[in-house]
Amino acid sequence: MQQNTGTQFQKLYNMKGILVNGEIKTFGKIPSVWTDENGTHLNIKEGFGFKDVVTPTYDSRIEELSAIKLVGDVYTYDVIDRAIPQTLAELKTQKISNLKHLIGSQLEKTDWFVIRQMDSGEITPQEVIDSRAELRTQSNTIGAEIKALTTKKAVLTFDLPTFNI
Amino acid sequence: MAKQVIGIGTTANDGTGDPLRTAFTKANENFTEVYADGFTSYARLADEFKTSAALTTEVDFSTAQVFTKTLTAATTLTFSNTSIGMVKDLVITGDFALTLPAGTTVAGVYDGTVSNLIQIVVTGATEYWYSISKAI
Repeated sequence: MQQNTGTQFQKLYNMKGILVNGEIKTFGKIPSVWTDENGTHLNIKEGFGFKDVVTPTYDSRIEELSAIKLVGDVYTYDVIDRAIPQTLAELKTQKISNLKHLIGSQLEKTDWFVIRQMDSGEITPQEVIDSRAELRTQSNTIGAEIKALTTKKAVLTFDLPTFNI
Repeated sequence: MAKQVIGIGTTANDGTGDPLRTAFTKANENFTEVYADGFTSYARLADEFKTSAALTTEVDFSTAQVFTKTLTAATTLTFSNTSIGMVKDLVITGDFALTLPAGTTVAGVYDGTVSNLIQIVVTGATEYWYSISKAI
């Protein structure tokens, strides 16, 4: 899945932040009405303490954002590693389970050919037989790749391919 | 009926003023008119209730009912001579930031592309409720 980069996010939503009573509040855009110690402000487009919020690009599978903070003239976040409570083995098991589920769902699409052959003897087309064999081969190959991974991050960021038959 | 003025002469006891009965008759007729239903009319209201004035930056509540201004830059307005219960109207145009004394509530959104009516209701010593409507 494509990640939404910080630059894209800011461009789309023009997020703004402001310090209020020691706490940084964020808004999708500058509010149409803003009241502070200086009065009630209408029709504001910039200023009045509002600064851009820049969300950095990060991989939500293994990273997360820190608390928002002021850096220079913008509010932004640090990208920090996400805590991963599962063991490496548990993560591999989960990933392989996902792979098998994915392969299984692809095989199900042509199961009826095999069942029909068993019931009526009608021969399953060769291209179907080949594609099912290819799926199993890919499953074994990818499964071996997952088993060979040595870090939690590597497992979490390992992308399962998209299968088409 | 026009107001009846009691003739009091030029100097005391010069004999040119209204007789006593005539004077009190005028007084009674004047009071009868004042106490009658419907005496108060819009025309009799003070200017602060029925006139419009161009604003600089101070909204003096004792001077007009409607205040108008075209913003040419970010502007801060101040209020003076406010009293609880007063209601005033600002007709504001211009696509610039507008700052008013801190309001208790604000209903509506200012639109810099059209004329805006900002109605102010004074509900406390420094409490203002704002309602913004805009021209279509």
